[in-house]
Amino acid sequence: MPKENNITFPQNELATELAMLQKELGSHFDSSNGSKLAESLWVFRQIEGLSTEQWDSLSSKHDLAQWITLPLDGDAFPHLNRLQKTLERLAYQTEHDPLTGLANRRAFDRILDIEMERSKRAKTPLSLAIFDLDNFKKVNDTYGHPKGDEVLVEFAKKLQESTRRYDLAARFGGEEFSLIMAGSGLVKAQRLLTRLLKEFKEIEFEIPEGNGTFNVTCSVGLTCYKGSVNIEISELIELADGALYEAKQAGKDQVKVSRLPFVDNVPDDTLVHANEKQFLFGGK
Amino acid sequence: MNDNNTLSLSIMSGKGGVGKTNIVLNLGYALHGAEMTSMLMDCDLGLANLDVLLGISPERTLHDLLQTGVDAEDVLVAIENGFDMLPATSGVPELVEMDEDMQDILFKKLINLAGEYDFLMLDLGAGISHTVLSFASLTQLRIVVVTPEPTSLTDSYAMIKVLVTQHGVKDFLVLVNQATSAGEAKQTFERLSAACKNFLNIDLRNLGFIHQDSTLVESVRRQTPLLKFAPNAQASKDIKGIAKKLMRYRDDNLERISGRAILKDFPTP
Repeated sequence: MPKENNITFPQNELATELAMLQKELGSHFDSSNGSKLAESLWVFRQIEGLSTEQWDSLSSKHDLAQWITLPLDGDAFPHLNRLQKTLERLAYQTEHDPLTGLANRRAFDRILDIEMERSKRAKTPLSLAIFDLDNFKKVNDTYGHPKGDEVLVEFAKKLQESTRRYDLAARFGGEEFSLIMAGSGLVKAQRLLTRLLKEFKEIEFEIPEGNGTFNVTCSVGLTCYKGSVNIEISELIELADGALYEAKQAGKDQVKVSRLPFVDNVPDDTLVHANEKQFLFGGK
Repeated sequence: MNDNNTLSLSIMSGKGGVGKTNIVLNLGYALHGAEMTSMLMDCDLGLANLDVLLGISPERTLHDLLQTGVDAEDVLVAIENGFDMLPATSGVPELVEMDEDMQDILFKKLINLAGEYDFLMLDLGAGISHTVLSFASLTQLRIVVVTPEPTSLTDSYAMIKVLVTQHGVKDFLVLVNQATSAGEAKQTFERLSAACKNFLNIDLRNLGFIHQDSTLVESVRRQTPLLKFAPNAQASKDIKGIAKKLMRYRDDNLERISGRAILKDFPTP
């Protein structure tokens, strides 16, 4: 993200004008006309005396990143590079959490959907963990929000370090995180999580303007999907959430597992029931 | 499509150790004695046994067929003239769960050769693995080998249930092995048959039974097929009877057999 700097464009009211225009133009966007291309226009306006640096400052202050600029002096091509970089940054922002750099909820939902399909097709296990830092509100209240952010960033770092390349770590928001472990069953996942919890709580955070350090623990809810039944993404998340709740109830700082109910795991049409067995053994 | 009227059979059992492989091998011998040609395929992939019963150790196995440049003829082992086998591999866990691509390669290479025999018999591994189930649904007939033991009965029933509900396979021939008497064999068949009728709404066909016979144990130890080791033993006579029934079935259904692919999904060009 571009750093906020102190350059202010002489015509500060221009920013307000642009913001209002943006709002106004936004209401003209018609998505209902999906089948044929709706009428559209490019709107250009030449602003004399505005430098690239000044535009950066304006754009970051007033959320104008989607506006395209083109310098009228010099070579336009280096500017296309800027445009490309802006697009990349915007694309990154839609799927990442700005504080920790982890995937955000949107990316999480997308990847979980893909992985559940893969699991269904290939009958490979897929483990899902949801984390919640213990007593995090107290950290914020006692040591301040910057310290709280530091804890979140450290946790995200640990999470990234302990996982494999094809796992996906995401921040759900607040002090809630999640981890999608494709190809891992409960045993492998539990081992990883236990180690992660231990390593995280060993991190010493310095107390701001004071002596000593403090530690933070974390609770985890874990569940595993094996692709044998049809369930929704939301149901899998609920299972992991339920386990997380259990971990909190049981005294925090631990992993709890919630399994898919046994009957749901077994395709009922092929299961041999007790009455069938009795029949085979000659009873009725 | 099936000019030689090759009849394809899967020999299977829910439970292991009920005598499947011995039955397949000796059925092959019995058919050979009746001047019928047959090809046995050891489909207990990963844990081969057919070669062991014959006392041979083949250099090439089905595993090699998955490689390019190796054809079915290269792997085929002649037991007698017109009686051949395709040995499986032991100790390759990857083969136990054969994916669709591997099955495709294997059967496409085999199907033309298989069409030159009167009988194609697949000796499937025990259990209800994906490979077992998909192989079983490819053949024209399925022989379920069951013993009077309750465990064998339950496992066979479970296997039939999975094939009925998941693969839509509805016709099974039941062969009772290790029966101490005709009465026990009858009771075994009837229990399985009644359960299938009652819960799955299918009719099982009774292929007959084979007496429990101690000479069979001896023949296995000597790695000599029973029909060769003791052709007049009770079990040998039983097996010959079963072979006759299969030949009669083939004769009675020639038209139907020739109109169908030897293995479903793998038509001969």
